[in-house]
Formats: sequence, C-alpha cells, structure tokens
Amino acid sequence: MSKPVTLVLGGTGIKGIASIGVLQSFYNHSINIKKIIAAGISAPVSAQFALGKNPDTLTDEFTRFFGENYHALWGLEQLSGLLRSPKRPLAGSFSYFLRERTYCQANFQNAGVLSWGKIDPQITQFFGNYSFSDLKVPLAVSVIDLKQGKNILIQQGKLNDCLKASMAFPGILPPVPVGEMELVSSTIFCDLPLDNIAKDDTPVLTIDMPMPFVGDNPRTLLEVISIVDEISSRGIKEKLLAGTDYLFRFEGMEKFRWGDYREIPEIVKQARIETDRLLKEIKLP
Amino acid sequence: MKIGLCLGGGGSRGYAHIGAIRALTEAGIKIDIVNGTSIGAIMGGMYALYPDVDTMTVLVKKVVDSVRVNHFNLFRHSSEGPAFLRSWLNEAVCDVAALKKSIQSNKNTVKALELIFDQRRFEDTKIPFSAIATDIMAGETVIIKRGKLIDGILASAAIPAIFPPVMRGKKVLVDGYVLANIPVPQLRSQGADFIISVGLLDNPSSSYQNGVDLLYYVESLKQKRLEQWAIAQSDFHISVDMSQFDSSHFENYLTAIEKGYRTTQQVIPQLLAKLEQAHV
Repeated sequence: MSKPVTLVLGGTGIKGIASIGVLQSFYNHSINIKKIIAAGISAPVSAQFALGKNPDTLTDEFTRFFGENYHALWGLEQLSGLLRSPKRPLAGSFSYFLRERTYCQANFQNAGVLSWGKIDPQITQFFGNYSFSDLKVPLAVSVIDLKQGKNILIQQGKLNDCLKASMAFPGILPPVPVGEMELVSSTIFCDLPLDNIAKDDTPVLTIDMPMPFVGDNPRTLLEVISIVDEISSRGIKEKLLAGTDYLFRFEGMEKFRWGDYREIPEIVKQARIETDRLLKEIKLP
Repeated sequence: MKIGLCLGGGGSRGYAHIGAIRALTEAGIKIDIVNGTSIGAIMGGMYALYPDVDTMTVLVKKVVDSVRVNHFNLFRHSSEGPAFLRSWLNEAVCDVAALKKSIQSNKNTVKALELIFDQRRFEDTKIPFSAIATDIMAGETVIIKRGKLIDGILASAAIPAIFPPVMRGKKVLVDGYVLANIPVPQLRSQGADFIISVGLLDNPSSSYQNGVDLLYYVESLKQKRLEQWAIAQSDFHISVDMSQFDSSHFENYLTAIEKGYRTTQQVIPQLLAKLEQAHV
C-alpha cells in the first residue's frame, strides 16, 4: 500500500464526472487517499465517494441524475455540439458557451440563465443533507468567493451549499451565498484546484483532463474573448501544475466535450483505464 | 549589469509611467533596456525613442489635443468596467458579438501612434525596447522587437473585443495583458539583470447585476493572479495605486503623471539601496 496522497480533481463541465473512474481505479489498487481537493462537477462526485459510497455504483447514479434532470440542468448542453462545426471549432469551447449564453441570449438582467429554485429539490434528493463532518475522507471544495475576490477551499459546514457553489458556473447559475461569502465555481479560473495546496497536503497527485486548445483565427467578438479567456486559464494552470508532486494527464479524454452527459459511462471507463495505466507507469511513494 | 524597466498595462492609467520615469531619471537611475504591455508598450516605446520626460509629456498633449482618444470609450457615462460593459451590451452587443471581431476599428489608435512614432522602427530607439502581445493562434506571449514601432505597439494594445486583432505573418495578435500584463519574465529573457517593474494597481469591483459582470470579474481575478507571479520575479516593483482612475479616460494625463511621480519618488531610497546591494 502506498503512502497516503492528496488527490486533486477538476475538469471542465461534465468531464468532472471522469473522477468516478479515477476513484474506481484508486479503490481497486488500494491507494490510500488522505484528502481530496475538488472543483466543478468532480466535487459532488468526490463527496459521494467521501461519504463512503462504492465508486462502482456512482456511474449509474450520476447518469440517472443527469438524465432525469436533463431539462432543468443541461438542456443547454446540446449547444456544445450544435455550435461547434469543423469550420468553427472555437465555438465548441466552454468559454464560448458561457459567453454565448450570457452575451447573446438577452440575459442581461439575471446572474444566470438557470435559477437554483428549480434545481435545489433535485440536489437535496440526490445528495442528501450532509455536512463536511459526515465525510469519511476529508474533502476540500474549491470555489471563488466574490466578496474576498479569490479562489478558496471550503472544508466545513453544510455540504450541499458548497457542492452547488462548485457547479455555479457564472452566467449559467447564480452565485451561492454561504455565510458572509458569495460563491461561484472555480473551474473558470482554473479547471484544477491547485491554488491553495498546503504543505501538509503533500504528496499531491493531480488528475488533469486537458481540453484541446483551438488556435484559430476568430471571426467574431465572442470567439475573440472566449479564446483569450482560455489562454489566460491555461497560463494559470501551467503555473500551478509546477506545485504538484505527481501528474496524471489524460490525453485520451480530449475527445469528450464538456457537455457530453450522454457519454458519462464512456468518460468514466476511459478515466479508469487511463488511471490504471498511469498507476503502473508512475511509482507512488 | 543591465537595468531593465518593465511597464505594465492599464489603459489611460499608464500615463503614470511617465511620472515614474521622471522620478527614476531624477534619482540618476540609468535604464539599459525597456519593455511594456499595452499602454506600457506605448509609454515604453516613447521613452526608448525619446528618453526625455518633457518630450514625452509634450507628445501626450499633442495626441490628446489632436485625436479623439476617448473614441473607444462608448461607455463614458458609466464609471466602472462592468457597468460600461452592461450599458452597451443592453443595446447592441448581440449583433456585434455575433458578426464582428471588435466593437470598433483601431483607426484612432493608429492616428495617435503615428503622431508619436511616425515611421520609426524598433531598431531606431536609443534604448533597446520590446512590446509584448499575445498570439491567439498559438496561445502564447510574443516579444516584438523588430519592424515598425507602430505595428508592434498597435498589436500590444489591441484590447480583445474592443479593437480588432493585428495580423503579423501567421500570427493573430491581441493585447499582451492576456498572459503578461507586467512582462517581467520576458524582459529577463532579453538579458536584464536587475528589473524595475511598474504596475498600475486597480481594484475591480465585485458587484454584479448579471452573468456578464461575473465573467468579467473572474477574468480580472485571473489577470491579478498572473500579475502576482510576474511581480514576484521582479527585483523591485513599484505599484502605483490607480484605482481611482478610469482606464478609459485619456484626458487626465497630468494627474496620472503626477501620481506616478509621487509614488515612485517615495520608494526611490529603497530602490537605491536594493541597487547598491546588487552592486549596480
């Protein structure tokens, strides 16, 4: 058995679900996890694992959750495919999606296209009503606090509020108030929550699921600002990755789009295969 | 030992660089190499070409008097970034965003740069100078140090969405702020041993009314984080608090110059001590 590691999980959009495959592989290899730091959709996945659920059951549960709540949550997802075409690959990016939604859908009066009112009951039903203290594996959820103006980790309090915040993609869902804080997802800052790694967290193993960078001559203002956003996020990620002890990069995951919720089983399977392979190649301490 | 001067971006707040340069000059600090991003490139290029603060101030006055420098500021009735974005988004951005690369042309910027740089080239500057831009095809920072000054600086100051990208060979260039608003590592790579960087401190508002404001705010947090890393690599950083200045109002240059001068003057003793430690 290896020395306990801190596992850093992120991913853009639905790709965070791939964390299930990572956790399955870790579980099967008896890798000891001392803490999980998660951002985006990998946060609810990690929470379920940290509550003690067998990772093998999570794929079905999340597939069902997204399937049942497709209209409330991810009806917009289809645009990730509709907008993209061989001639306009840029329009398939998550940055473009957020901006297309907010800039071009007359959404100037709301903080998000969707509201929490419709989604809250489903979240409570699916995730239960737990606190961080109920978790069997320590979990830190990465979010941006608008009040403090920085990326922070939350490790105590009510779990659901933080899981909502981890998925509060600006423009899509409104910020989530938690105490004095006002929280949004940190994945648009950087899809990996590496900004607050502490010395006690070492050794840190980071799972990177890169999105393909589309260097293209933009044709519209939206394409220009989307590509600029992606470039700055990549710049931040590159810097932050220097602080990780072990990096598992899943190049094979590039083929999946950020909104491929219909591909959840395949995304999970691919992530498990990649983790199995890298665990054989890279010796953990 | 080469002393480098690195000038950060920040719209019209960048006039403060002239004041900073005046204070450095008065303290007898000789700059051997200079670079800059966006307005920092405009001011840096001007200083490299005419290393004299009075000449720089005269040129700025000439530009402000002759060109509609605030032309790009369609939002002049609003006082802060998210608010100005919102005002035009509500009116026209749907069409513009879907059909055009930018809100407006760079015609007035070109006019302003022509008044300052005419047909001069990077090779003509009295102090070696480079402008920093971002190539959105490769997703990386580009150091421009050859060719006509106006071409390189235009690219460095091509604020995405406001001005159109600048084509340079196979590169599609926009403002260098995307990855390098305070381009310290780039100056280091060009041989500067001791780098004095000047940043224009801003304090973006976290208040929001819609998703656009939120996206804009997170973008500003990213820029702040990238700047922190760059500043950490500088040997001496001068932070001029320009949070009270609107980056899109180009008329108030005298106040901004004065602010840059006073701020820099206050830190000159520490800077001289640091230079002495470094055996400069």
